[in-house]
Amino acid sequence: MNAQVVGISTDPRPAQRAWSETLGGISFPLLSDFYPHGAVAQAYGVFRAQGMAERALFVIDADGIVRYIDVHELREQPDENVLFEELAKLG
Amino acid sequence: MAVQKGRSSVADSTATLKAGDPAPDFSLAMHNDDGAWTLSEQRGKAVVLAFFPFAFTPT
Repeated sequence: MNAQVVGISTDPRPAQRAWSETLGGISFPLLSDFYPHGAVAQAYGVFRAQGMAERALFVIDADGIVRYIDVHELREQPDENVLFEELAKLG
Repeated sequence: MAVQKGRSSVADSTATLKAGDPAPDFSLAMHNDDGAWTLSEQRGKAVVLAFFPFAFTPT
């Protein structure tokens, strides 16, 4: 399946780099939505007043259309199987 | 607080977006590359945006 995964947080880039190193490297890019702070999270409607993004997944198809949105409890990690099912629907 | 996997999705839309809407374009710095990552340059393949609250918390 030809899907590009990116992680997005409002952390500054050095924090993301440091974090990825503690994890032994991350296979997909982490994007820094730090300045203007949370601008992308705001555009997607997942910016919290405390200054960070919700834990949320957006699946976007090859034409740039949003096909699936999952806003999750902050303390919970989304089930990746649900994500794979949604990606499979895109064919 | 332990982070657990779960299916307790709290919403399938946001204040600004729902399924079927065009995804707002953006360009952001990548942690592992000096270039910028731009959504509109990914046309032709599916993209998963995984927003998360903070580094040093599970994605």
